[in-house]
Amino acid sequence: MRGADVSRDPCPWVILNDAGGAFAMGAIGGGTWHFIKGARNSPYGERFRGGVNAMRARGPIIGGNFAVWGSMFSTFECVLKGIRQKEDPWNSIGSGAITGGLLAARGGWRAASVSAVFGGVLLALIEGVGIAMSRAFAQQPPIVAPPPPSSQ
Amino acid sequence: MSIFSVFSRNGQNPQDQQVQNDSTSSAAANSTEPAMDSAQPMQQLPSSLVLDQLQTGGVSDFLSQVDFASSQLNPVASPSGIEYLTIEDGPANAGGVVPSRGWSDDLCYGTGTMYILGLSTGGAWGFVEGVRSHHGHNFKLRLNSVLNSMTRRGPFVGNSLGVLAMFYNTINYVIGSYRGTRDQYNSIGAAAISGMLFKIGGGPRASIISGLICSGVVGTYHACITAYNSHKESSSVDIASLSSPSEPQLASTTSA
Repeated sequence: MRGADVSRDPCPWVILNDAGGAFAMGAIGGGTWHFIKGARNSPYGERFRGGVNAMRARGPIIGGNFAVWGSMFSTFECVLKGIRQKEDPWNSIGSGAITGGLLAARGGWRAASVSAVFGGVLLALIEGVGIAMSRAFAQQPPIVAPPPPSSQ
Repeated sequence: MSIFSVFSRNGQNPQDQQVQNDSTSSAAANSTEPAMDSAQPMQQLPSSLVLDQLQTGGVSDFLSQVDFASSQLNPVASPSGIEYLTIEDGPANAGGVVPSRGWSDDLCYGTGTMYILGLSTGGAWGFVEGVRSHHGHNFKLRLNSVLNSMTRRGPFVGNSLGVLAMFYNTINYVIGSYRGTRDQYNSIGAAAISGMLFKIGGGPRASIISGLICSGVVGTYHACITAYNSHKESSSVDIASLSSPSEPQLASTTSA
């Protein structure tokens, strides 16, 4: 396969990795978000309890939504890799668009296409930032010394 | 400078030989040191001359200069010979399908596996529940009821198992790095703590019961793994003892 990325795991297993990473990200981030929101919405004296209750109620749901997104994205990326037989940013852009479109499919064609474009643009931004970062932090190639002088 | 370079090939001149030895033994191989080249003017070798030397020299005198002993190829190399790189200090745990690169891989794989397992198990539970229920008389209503129960049970079980696995993996890593070892007591303790954390809203009794259940599940898993490993070892010992008599015969025939 062309341009294989060795920092990621081989294809069927990376779906589990992405689902777990997305779940952890969503559960921790969403839990923090809803803790703060629940604490702000609670009366004095009940701030901590209200925050914890909101976090326990809403955090896992956001984690689950993230995990569904991540696992679908990773599945479609693996499918695209298998079909196209190469790895480039278009794989993830395309799988982001497919995932966004499929998850909004219940809302009709208009909502699905808007969501697909949004997913593709989001993944294109992420890929672009990643490429720019890797170019900025890439190591300079080692300086090649000139051939030695002859002593004739 | 490499030994295989065309420039180091003609060794008629003793000074040239000196240059070659120095350059092979020192790390600053291609440095144009002024002390060495002060006698001769610096001058690039023309490509036609290189071709001449290549054609006239041939391979035999080139090979006669090359010594493949590793102690002479690289003075840094150990006198015992070439050292090979080992991958033992690379991945932390190479036992699974994919070698783990550390705690973040453990966390991601554990959480993802448990989430997808829980989602499918909960979906199957909801499917059975929806099929058994007697809501709806035509097909569309029945399908709707099945789908409703699947989407009620599946995400619930998946989210719960995912949160449990996230707690478990994080606490397991913290305990392991605090104690400095990775063994089954770590994971049983981590399972107990994560089960108690998971049910902390339901009062102390529910919390302790949940911790006991989780540690019991993990303890059973470890007991099964240990039993399976010992069974595999004993069976492999049996196979080895069955096939071992061929070895002394082979040794005696070769020595005689």
